[in-house]
Amino acid sequence: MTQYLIRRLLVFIPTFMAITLITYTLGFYGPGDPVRIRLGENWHDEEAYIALKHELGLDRPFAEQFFDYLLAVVQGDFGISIYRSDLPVGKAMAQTLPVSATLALASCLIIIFVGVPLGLIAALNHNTWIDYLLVSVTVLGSSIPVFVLAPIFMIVLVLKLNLINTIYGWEGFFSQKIIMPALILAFGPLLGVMRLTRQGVLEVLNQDYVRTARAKGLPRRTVVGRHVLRNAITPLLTNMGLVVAFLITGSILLEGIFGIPGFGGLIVKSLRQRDYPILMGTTIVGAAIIMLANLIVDTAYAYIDPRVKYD
Amino acid sequence: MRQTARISRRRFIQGAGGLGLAVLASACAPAVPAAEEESPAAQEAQEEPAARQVLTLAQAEPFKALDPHTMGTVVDLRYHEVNFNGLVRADVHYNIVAELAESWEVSDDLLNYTFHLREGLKWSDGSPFTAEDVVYSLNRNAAHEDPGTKRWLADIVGYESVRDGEAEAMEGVVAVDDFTVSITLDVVVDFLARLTFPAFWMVQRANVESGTPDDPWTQRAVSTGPFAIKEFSEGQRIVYESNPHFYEGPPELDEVVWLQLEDKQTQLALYENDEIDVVELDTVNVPRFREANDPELVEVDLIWWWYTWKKVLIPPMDDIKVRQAFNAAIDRTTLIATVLKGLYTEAHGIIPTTMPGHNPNVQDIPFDPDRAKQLISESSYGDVSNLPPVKFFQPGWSGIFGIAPRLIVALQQMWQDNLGIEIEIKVEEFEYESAETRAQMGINSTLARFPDLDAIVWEMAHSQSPRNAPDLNRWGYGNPEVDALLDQARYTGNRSEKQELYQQAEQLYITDAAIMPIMFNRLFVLVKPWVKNFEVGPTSTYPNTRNVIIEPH
Repeated sequence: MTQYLIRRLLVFIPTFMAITLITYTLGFYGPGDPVRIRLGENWHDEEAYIALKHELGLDRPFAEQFFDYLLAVVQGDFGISIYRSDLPVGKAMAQTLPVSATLALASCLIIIFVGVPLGLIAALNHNTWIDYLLVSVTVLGSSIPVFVLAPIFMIVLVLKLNLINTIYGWEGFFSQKIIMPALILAFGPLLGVMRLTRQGVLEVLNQDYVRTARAKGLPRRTVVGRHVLRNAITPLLTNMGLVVAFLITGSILLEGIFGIPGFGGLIVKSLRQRDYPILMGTTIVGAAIIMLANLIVDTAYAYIDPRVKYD
Repeated sequence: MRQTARISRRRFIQGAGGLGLAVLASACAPAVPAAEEESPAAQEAQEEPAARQVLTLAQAEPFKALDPHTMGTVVDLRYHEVNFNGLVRADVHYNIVAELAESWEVSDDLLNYTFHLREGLKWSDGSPFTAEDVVYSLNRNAAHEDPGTKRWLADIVGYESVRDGEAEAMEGVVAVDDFTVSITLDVVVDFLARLTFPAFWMVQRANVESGTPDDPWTQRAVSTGPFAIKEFSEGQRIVYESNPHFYEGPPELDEVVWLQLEDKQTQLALYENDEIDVVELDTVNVPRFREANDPELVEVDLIWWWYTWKKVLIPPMDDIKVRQAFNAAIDRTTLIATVLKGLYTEAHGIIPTTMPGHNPNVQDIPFDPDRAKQLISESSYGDVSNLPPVKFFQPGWSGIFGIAPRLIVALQQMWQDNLGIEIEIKVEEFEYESAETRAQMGINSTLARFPDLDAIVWEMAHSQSPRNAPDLNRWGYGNPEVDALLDQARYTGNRSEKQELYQQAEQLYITDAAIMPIMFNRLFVLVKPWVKNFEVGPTSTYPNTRNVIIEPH
């Protein structure tokens, strides 16, 4: 297992370099000029343009700029935002990542505590109206895009029903402000989790050991809880790692709508402002999150499923 | 297999569960400074439940710099106006009024200004404000590494030496004594108007020099304006508290809270939920409030206008008849009434309606399709079939304003219908057109940041303006008669004479059809009825927060 982990971690290095090179190249040769953007209303001032380009080191050859950047990233320096000259990229990411991670965690809890029971109920009532209803509702819910779902929730829960006092901002996990964004963020992955649970439970229900457990006269609750669910959710647990990675990096639109100062919002702003240092930093860190999540999932699989072994 | 594993499956799952709970517990701990304590609103409620007056505003676009000397966009100005100020300021009608300077004298040659500061001025930290602070602020901006706003200081004697690092202080800025500052210029400009711009606003040396990349001074700025920064929460809000040392005395408002919230629909929902007091409307929402005659709706014409430009040195725009024909083919009245739903004010000149010096009688080229065709036949090209292909440049940023793409498509259709000319639209990523595009015409919008006609008319129409530099593939406009009027206007001290000269230059510029003014932009804002004395400035800022009162509600 140790060797496996070392091998996986070593693969990270070329992967990171490839991601950095591709992103950097796209930013370098892509449309838009960060120097003009930084100049703002002075964009037509050629003298200032040349001076600023030199000051930012953007008038050097591509290879030189790229390797300097790579070296700085290795040392943990992601540079300074082009748009906001007072904002180091590392600081921006350090401030926003915990927010997105907390939001992702809240969504995860919803996904697990709502998605799994719903999947179970659907499977236990297979091909009945309950099964059809649950599947239809989740398909419908997860098909509605966030930018439509969010205003509907706002209007209904805040303005019409007054169930929630406020919708804006971020005050951490134990705040009612997290409810709506976490709920909306959970909607998409919820369907997947519910389906996986439903499918897993249906498969396990037909296994011999379940029939044996029933034949022994065990109560239905014990059969479902101890023998069915525990085995059915094994693939689900491994899937959750990727769901968490998606939730952290995927709350792009949502954070903007709810004014949550998270990682997704940072990506959107940097895209709008062609803020290449932030785009680079968020891409690299986003890729790292997904790779780490994959590694954790693969590693955990060996422990969760005794049939799997890494040599 | 189980025997070879160091951790049993059961223990792993238990451990993972425990770890999950630990992560949950740590996640419940504060993630950002704002979450460390009870929300400010809740604290305020406990401390002084009813007495505190708080004005809450929301801003969709992110700011670029809180430092007034690196101001990038008009959004920044909205923040700067809350806590910074300068020697003079512009009121909402763009009149220049005294601020930190109580009075001033101007020399006969219009090159020297002597400002007398108010006595007893203090920074928000209680330390005294003197003429040396003025000298520091202006020199600091001249030497600033960011090009931001400093070009507006370029006419002060000694500016270039400081900009180039050859000198530490401009010869033209001198503290005569603690309360008197003398500023000398190289050339005559409308200097008082420029002084209203953040380039000339005051920053404190000790405060600026205490800043580090991880702890920027701007997020705890000491200032001389009506409010001072109390709390900065990245990406969430900036809270300003009333400055007890403000020269007029502390404002009635205890706090101004600027929420940073990019979604305008959410802003509107917050407004309807009484969480914010003022909201800027997206144009799609305006008809709903207009049709209802909502008393909370405030509309203000801005010093921000949209126009199409032409490169007058590149065929076919090198022929004035062709340029005039293109203008005559556009029915702006219909365009604004239908495509733009009557939300904007039709423009005929380049001096905006809210700017002192606006000429309501400026004569532009009226819509007349027959005349447009006739102009083409009178031109050196004789017929539309002889015109080279025309490329129209659309800057990428214009897509941010929902109106621009619709406007451009409508213009394209009108040229097609009324002149029989097909225009190719080239969209570029930014305002700066690439060499490949080489469009002969395009669209642009310009916002004047301070009440100086020179900064509007000279910038657009003078042959020496960077906008007209032909070697940089710019508009290339130049008319000796216009240049002469603009030069004369610049050196005229009398304000009404000055305005008249600019109006004459404007008229010639419009007749030359180098541009076609389309419309003046308008800002639509909803203001809660309990917010009194709230005013919207012509640059789309809220310059009078110092006078705002929140009535009990």
